[in-house]
Amino acid sequence: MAEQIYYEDVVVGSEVPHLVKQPTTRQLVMWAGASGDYYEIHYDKDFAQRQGLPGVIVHGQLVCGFLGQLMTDWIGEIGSLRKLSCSYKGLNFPGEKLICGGRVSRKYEEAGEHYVVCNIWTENSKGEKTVSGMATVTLPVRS
Amino acid sequence: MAESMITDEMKSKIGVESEPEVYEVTVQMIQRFIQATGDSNPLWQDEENVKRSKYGGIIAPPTIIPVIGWERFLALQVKSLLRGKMLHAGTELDCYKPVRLGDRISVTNKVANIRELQSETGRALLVIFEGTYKNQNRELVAKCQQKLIGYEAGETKNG
Repeated sequence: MAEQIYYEDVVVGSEVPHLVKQPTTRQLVMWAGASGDYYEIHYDKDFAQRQGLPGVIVHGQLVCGFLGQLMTDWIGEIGSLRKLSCSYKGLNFPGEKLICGGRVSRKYEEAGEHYVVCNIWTENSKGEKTVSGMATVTLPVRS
Repeated sequence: MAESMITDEMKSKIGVESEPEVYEVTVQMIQRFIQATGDSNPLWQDEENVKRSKYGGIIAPPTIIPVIGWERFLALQVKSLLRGKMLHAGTELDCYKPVRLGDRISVTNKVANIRELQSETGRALLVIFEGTYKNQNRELVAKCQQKLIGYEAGETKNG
């Protein structure tokens, strides 16, 4: 596991280390099996095109899984993911590189817990933000 | 003015909680999920090391929650409202307890809201579903809101 990050270490405005993904069509089929989402726009190119799409697209919820990993990788073993929201604004295509990123927008204490709020997103190779959202985590304190 | 896309039958579904369905969190369920996402975090799989973690055993990635019961949810609830072209617009997940290996998660869903939208290519319906997830101890594990758009006609624009 990566070194544990603590609440005191987090600076508002700092970035969460990027996570890079490049989902393949094989991965989309694996996701279909894992999630039970067999909608044909995610594996049948002809079907996707008949629906007006340029081709097969990546499941929004798979990208949500990537953004969840972005956060759980960062918060380490002791941190907890409390809230994650994803807005699927654009299309992601298999074979394209997706950069998952996040930036700390706020940190606060409440009822003895130490919260960090981040804006999160995925960016495609054209620099377009295809998914955006927010994540709230709790982190341990050093003292 | 065109007739609303939101029928009385649709309106009658708002706020009606589905019967609970129970899913056991198995090694296979977690493995298939993390293989598909490519997530190698030891918390989800390293049985020996996680004994020493604060959880004392394997847990599942929090983003597995929306997937629990998703296939049945799509087949029964979503298809009864959105029959044609459909896209996923958003997910909002609130986690209260970790999902542990061996947990028996009870899932209920309801339609929280239905709105009509004017998309670039025609009319569409935005349906907001709300799922509630409890473990075998009746503890609230998570809530999850899913936004789905069903298009009347024309091209799709979202992911």
